[in-house]
Amino acid sequence: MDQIIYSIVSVKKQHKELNALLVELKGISGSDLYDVFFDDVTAVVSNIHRNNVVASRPNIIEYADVIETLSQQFTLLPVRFGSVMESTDVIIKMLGRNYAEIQSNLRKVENKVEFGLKVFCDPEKAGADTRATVPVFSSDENSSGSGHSVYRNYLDKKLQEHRIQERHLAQIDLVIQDITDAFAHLNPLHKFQKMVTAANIINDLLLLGKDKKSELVLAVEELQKKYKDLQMLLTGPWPPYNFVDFKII
Amino acid sequence: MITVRETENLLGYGEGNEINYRRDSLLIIATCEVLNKLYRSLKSMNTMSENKILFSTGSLDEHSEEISKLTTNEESRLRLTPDNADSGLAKLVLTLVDLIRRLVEKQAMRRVDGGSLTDEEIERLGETLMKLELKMEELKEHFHFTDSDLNLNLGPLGDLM
Amino acid sequence: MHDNVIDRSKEITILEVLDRVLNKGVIITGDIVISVADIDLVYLGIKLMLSSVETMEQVKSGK
Repeated sequence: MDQIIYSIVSVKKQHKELNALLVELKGISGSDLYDVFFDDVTAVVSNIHRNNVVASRPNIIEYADVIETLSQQFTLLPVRFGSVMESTDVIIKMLGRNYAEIQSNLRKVENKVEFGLKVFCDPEKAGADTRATVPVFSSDENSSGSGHSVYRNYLDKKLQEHRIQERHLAQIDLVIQDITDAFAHLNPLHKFQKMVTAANIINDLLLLGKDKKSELVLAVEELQKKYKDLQMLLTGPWPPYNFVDFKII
Repeated sequence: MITVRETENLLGYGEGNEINYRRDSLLIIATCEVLNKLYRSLKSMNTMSENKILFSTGSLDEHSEEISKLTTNEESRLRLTPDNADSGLAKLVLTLVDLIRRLVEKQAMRRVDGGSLTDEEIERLGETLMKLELKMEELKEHFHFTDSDLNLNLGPLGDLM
Repeated sequence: MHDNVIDRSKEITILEVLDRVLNKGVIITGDIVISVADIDLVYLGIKLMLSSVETMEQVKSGK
């Protein structure tokens, strides 16, 4: 029977608690949840037919809910939706092969939660500001620009665009440095993404101690005061989805 | 889950106080089971409708629009059908070619900016890049592709840009 | 106005959940990553895409 894997949970001495919780919870489409053990790690699964693994809104919410509830009591690695294996035996072998990596990742996320900080700008305003700071000059600094071939003019135009983009990125890097400094006292792991869209200039994923939530909110409030032209969105706490990206073999 | 019916049958239906007492307590158990299930389903609904936003400034409408660009949508999906097999493949090929072209262009700009190229090299670079871009436009026109057609979601590859 | 804020907050929360559950987390099966010179370039979630094309439309339109 196919089984879909919700997460890989660290169960040191909490077998009873986990079993109790799995009886209470339901998986996709109200299915029962089971645990599949290898040593002190467990995959939480439910039976499902491959063809029924569909990314519909209700399925995804039920799936995420299971992970969310489990993560409140246990250290775990969230598994991406759609991870289906043919049987319990196959799952046990998979856990065995990857035991070391699984363990090191579980240690990494123990007692930690994830937060996401998205920073937005007004693309038109930001673009205009950046353009204003980049002086216009050509690739040939000795000439006034007249008598240039069409190719040279084309290149100059491209060069100008390139410089504006580089400038924009440099400004973003400054904000990223600021964010890093602002949260340093919370000892987070950071994962930054730049220019996700024209407006969403920074996406910062943070892994830090569960108890740091209110301090983080304070730090973000302070940061916002400093950057009046940017908007911020802080979400969390999440199970550590973004910090478990090793590949299973 | 225990049903009152089943257990009544097992224990034997009767009018005596003893049986009524058992039946009442079974009723209570059955009701508890139902309430428990209801509670569980409400509880799991609540976990996800719980608001995860801790702090926000600016327009939530705009933020939500930007965020929705992240999740794959129809336009950024490649559809290959018997009818569009050749243009579907062309779309994929052109998207990759354009991506490489843009990467090459970016690298060229870094070289020019670095100041290590001669005038002649810069001139040749400009000519080549311009011709590449024109060729790209030609190919797009040939297949009637717009810029947004070639905006396929390339996952991690997209981040290179 | 207040209702709109609640709806938007929920909408954003769900989008964030979608992004995590569909794109992040441990990758166990069914995915292809095309690598060039050891650099992972293109990720193809084939299984997922085959089964979810129709229903992703529903997800996007908020059904």
